[in-house]
Amino acid sequence: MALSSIGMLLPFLGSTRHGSNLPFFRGIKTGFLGFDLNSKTATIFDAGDVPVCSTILSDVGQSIVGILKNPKETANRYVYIRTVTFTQNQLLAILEKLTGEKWSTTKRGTAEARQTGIEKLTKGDMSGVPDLLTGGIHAGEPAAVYDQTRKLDNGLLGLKDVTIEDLVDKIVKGQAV
Amino acid sequence: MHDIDDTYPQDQLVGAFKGQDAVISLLPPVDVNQLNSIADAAAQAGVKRYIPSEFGSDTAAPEVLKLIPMFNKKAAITDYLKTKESSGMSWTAVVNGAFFDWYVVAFSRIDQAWL
Repeated sequence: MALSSIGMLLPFLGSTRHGSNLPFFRGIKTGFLGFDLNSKTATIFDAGDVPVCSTILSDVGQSIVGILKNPKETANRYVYIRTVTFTQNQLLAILEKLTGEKWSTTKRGTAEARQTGIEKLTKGDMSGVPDLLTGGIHAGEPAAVYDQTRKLDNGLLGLKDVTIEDLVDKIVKGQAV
Repeated sequence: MHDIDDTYPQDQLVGAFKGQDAVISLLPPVDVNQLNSIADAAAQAGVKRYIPSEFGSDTAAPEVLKLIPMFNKKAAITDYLKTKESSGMSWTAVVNGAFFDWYVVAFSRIDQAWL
């Protein structure tokens, strides 16, 4: 079965239907996942030593291509991909080295972040999404990392190996990743 | 490019999906009923592969759902897609962890960040 014709459903960010998601997206401007290159600030969750699996958007795109090229092998299941696995402390060290500057850090607890997020979301306040998300993905296996417990589909879907240093180097230089 | 009304009426969706082999949803996984209706329309239109609004944590792991309750919506969507398998529409859910592009923010436009 060749899958050659693709439809994509994208939200129109200007519509009132999705207006409630805007506070979530606004957070991205200031690096809601913790690291803001513009201000050289980082929020470190707990001790900052929990490994996190992370993927660049171009790899997400490549994985979709890979799924369509390998329909039988990817039918009716979850596929697991990741570009890099790192801890926040590691990412901070690389950023400080490549920007040549000491970053200022704030500490936050993952339990408090999840609690805050759940409370906000219970009241219908969508700005709770980044709180719950960051509090969840930095809390440890399996929410943070799955590359030891799940079989990765990187090879099947055509993802190439990259190092986190290469990625951060490109980002700091303003290049696409 | 099809513009669909905000209420996502079935007939507009089926019309837009006809002839597509695969549909990828990048909609935020908030309104589960709406997203399931969209999956229904895709199956009705003869779409062969549906890729839902996953693209995050491993929501196949029950411990993750306990830790991050809002992900129950993603799990519900995947469960619904399992019921569409017999109609001839298969699915693939992508677990990619955190978006690295959102970790280290170097750009300032919300729309670039989203896509």
